[in-house]
Amino acid sequence: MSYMPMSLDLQAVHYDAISRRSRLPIVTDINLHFATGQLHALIGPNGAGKTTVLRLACGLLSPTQGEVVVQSGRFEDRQWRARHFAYLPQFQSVAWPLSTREVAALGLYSFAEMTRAEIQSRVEHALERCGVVDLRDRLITELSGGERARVMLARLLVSDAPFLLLDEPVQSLDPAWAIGLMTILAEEAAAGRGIICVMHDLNLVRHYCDQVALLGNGALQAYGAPARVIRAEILQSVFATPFQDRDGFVLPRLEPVPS
Amino acid sequence: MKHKGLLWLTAGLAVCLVLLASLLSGEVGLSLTELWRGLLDGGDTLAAIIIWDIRLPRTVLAAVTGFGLGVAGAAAQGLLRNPLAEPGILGAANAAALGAVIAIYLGLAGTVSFWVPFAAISGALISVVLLLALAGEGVSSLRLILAGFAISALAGAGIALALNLSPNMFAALEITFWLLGAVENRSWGHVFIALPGFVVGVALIWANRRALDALALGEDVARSLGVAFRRLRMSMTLGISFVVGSLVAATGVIGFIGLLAPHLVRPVTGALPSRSILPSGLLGAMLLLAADSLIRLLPTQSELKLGVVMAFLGVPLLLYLLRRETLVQDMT
Repeated sequence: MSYMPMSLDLQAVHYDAISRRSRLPIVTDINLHFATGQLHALIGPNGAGKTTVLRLACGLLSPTQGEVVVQSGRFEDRQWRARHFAYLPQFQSVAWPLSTREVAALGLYSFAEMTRAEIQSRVEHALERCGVVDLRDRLITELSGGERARVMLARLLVSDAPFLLLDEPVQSLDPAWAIGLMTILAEEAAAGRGIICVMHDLNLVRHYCDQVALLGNGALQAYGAPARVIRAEILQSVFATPFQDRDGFVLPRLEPVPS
Repeated sequence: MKHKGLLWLTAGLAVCLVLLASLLSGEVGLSLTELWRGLLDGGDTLAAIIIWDIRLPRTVLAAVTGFGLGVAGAAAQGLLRNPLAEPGILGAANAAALGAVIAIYLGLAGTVSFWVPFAAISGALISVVLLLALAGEGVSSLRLILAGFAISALAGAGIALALNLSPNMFAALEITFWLLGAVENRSWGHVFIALPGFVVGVALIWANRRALDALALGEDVARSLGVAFRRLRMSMTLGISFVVGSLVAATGVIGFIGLLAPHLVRPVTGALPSRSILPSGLLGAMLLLAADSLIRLLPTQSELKLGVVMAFLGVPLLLYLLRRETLVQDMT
């Protein structure tokens, strides 16, 4: 599998949530460069604008100001976007008791030219990689939260989209599968896909990601290689809580439980 | 694949059987050969007149109505991502009924004249315009449901008002009977009045059915998969309202089919919304034809109304589904 090298740039992007009565800035002046072949992480406190940046990056939101630019592509074309960006939202909802296989196959919705056999083999392969191939005929509503999350990941992997965007993909996974998922994402990046994921586990980010964007208060606070961004003093100021960096692990300092 | 073919064959056969049963039941007993001759020869024989002028329009209307309500119900559930959605949820059914009631109330017509369906279709069209004006810019399905509910309630109030103000008992009775829903005493004219809206509506639903599958994963994911969500919602809303409005215009309000048919087919077709649409239509047609035949076989003094019988048949089916828990799934 080879992917066309592509880059995705957010250029001076602002996004305001506009309602009839108010105009609330969510993110301001974001400049980010994403490229295929790399695993990017978006980190930051709750409400910092990570999800908004992710949705802007795949065209689900349009910037109020600024531009999202794809080199050699038609970003404004919905169908083109659907074939080049696969998106996994933070909150999974499946309205009907679909089978695992049916859910994964929906990742190929915009690839109408594919034969049934090809769809089937891609679905099988993706489920296999996510360790849920034995659940292929089970209903998604019967699965545990973590199993469901892995089926959702398989839904992204079935297509040839050069960019995968994931919003907190490890949130319901056990430690083993959190590592399993990051390994899959790293493999995909090595195979030439561009991965952008919102993360909270800073140690997974430090270990697996190539580039980290730290958001705080709707603005970009730091951007670069994990070694440069994930440092106690930087995190401390953005998260407003003390961090400690020990034995290669960065963790917020635990306060004694008040008695 | 073989299995699937067999299923379709069975469904086809079952439809043929209920069609036949519908044509055979009625006050005048006809044998199979008489039916066959009447159908083929036409002309002025008694059998031919009964079949072509009385039974066939009724049978066709029942089949079309059941099919349309089944399809519209499956589409409404898929669009709103809600197993409790039924075709009337967007308000078109009540609005069409209000249109018809106004026509009856104004004495424009007896209940079987063509003014009634025309007024009903106008009511449905007005409701669609209202619905899109109320919910067109909104993003959430909830807004669509609430707007539909508001229109439905308003139309319901209008119907109640008409009953309240009706000049005499007979007018009120006429309105009430029409509201119960029936396919008796209907002519080809009624079929042809319902047909354009039915065809356009079903075509709109059919053309957009696959997008409902993507929508099963939520609006955001559907949009990321390339679904033009607003266009989808507009087409589906129009489709459902056209179908329901035209059918109510010809038959009055017949409930439960649109809610039940999709649930009854899902254990066989699976839960993908696109797969349940055509089977829901076929099952809806079968159910309505069977209920309408049953009505004619029951030795009641005056013929029971189809809407009444459907409700009596529908509730036990609903309870059965509840017990099996196929209706209420974990929806998170």
